Amino acid sequence: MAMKAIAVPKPRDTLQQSVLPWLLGVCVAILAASAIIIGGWLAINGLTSLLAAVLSWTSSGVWRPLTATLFITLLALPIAALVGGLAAGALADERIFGAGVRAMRRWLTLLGSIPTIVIASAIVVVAGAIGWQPTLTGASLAVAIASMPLMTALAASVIGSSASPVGEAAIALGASPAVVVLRVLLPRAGLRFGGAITLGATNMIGGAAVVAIAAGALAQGSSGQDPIGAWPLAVQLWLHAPVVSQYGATAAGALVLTMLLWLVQGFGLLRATPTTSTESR
Amino acid sequence: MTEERTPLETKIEVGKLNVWFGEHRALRDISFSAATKTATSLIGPGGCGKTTLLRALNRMHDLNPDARVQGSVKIDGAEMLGPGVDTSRLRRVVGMIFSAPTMLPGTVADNIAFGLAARGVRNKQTLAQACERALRRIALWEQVGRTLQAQAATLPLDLQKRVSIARAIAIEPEILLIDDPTAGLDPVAALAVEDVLARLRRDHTLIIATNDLQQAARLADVTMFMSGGEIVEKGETPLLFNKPGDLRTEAFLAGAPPKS
Repeated sequence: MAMKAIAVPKPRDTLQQSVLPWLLGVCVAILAASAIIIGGWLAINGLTSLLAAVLSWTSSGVWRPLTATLFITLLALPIAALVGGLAAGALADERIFGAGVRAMRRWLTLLGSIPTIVIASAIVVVAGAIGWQPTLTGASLAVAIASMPLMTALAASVIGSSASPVGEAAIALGASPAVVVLRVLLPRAGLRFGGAITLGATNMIGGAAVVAIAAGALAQGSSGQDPIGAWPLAVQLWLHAPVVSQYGATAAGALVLTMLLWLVQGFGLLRATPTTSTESR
Repeated sequence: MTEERTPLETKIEVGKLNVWFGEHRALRDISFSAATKTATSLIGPGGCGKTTLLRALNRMHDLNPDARVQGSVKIDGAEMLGPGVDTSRLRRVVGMIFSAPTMLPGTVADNIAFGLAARGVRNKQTLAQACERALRRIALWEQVGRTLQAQAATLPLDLQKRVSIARAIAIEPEILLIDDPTAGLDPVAALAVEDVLARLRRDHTLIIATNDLQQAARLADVTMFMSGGEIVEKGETPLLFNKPGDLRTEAFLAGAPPKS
């Protein structure tokens, strides 16, 4: 006699395991398409352009805007992630800063909801108005500062707070605020913390690209004055390259970097092992 | 030389305790005392303030900015609600076992030794010994001793519950606050947990909030019936269950729905 099949709900972890490869596949496809588009653009612009782009640092190449964006991101990311992570840790336990932490969380969420691109552009515009000479280092700091609220809000959302059941369980055992944050909340956040930083980084790449463009525009408007400063890679490209190429190359670079980050995050999630009990409560 | 305590020595004394959450007054002039190494159970309908009272005794309400606590909680005669009290130290003296056995990150051993490690104990042997001692005290060593390195969150719920008890007693608190110890457990697992609590009565002062009247009758020396944030009646458990002095207690024990 045939037994009637019983519908068993699909466990969340299994669902994640089955959906993630598809998402990663989409990322890989977009990455491949980006590579084809960039390659096509270079091919259309001629072999000379292609070779110039790949082999040299001429004004029409893609490497300088891409490297500028990458440089800004790489310099800004550790600063913003470190400050954001520490701030989120401090905000996790109300015993550290008192009841004002709630208001701080609300303000950070509000500030973090403003796209990094907007804050970074505002910083660049204001800096230009007061006579700032654009450099990569300066642009990186602007992007880092602009990203801090979002980084903090993202990190805080995955760290949680001491008022959560796990935090209370630790506090009831006599744990101090620092112990609760460092030995309970951060380890518990685990991979999700890395995911939050990745999200912040992808947002940051867009901001970095725009700041690089704005820095180049400022440099172009500086009447021949050499704006290079400490990091000469900053604006050389923008001084000499056509504007369309700047946008196209920078956007393509940002897209490639974002996809790479998604891939890293996706592989990290695939490798993650479930740590929570499936026992119903 | 340590002083020998008589069984009737007062361990905890609560006077005129009130708790507000914003404008809502959750506890009203709660006063009672519990003797050393006795078990006191709190019974009453849901929302009557049992958990709120437990959390006031080890100042867990300090974590909630909306909560306001007034009154007196004395342990061994020393006031615990004052501003200069070291709350981390207080919580090592007044341990708490929550209704949901939330496991901390890490292994079973990490969980049980957490309280000691948080206090600064780093010696692995000391932590391992404390872990074994706590598990043996609740007769869990044979069952869990071999899986100390397993991730605590992967244990079944009933084992998580007992590990959370071991975790609480590993820091050797003098008082244990226990919130609905068998919530969500099947009858067999619930009896196993109850057996563990019966063992703990010998060494700790227990205050147990429970929704299981039979459990209160089996475990507690003294029972308090709460309703609407106040203690309606308190008495020795057999007396309160057999001859309740208040009509509200009698109605609750008889299973009548609470009057709104």
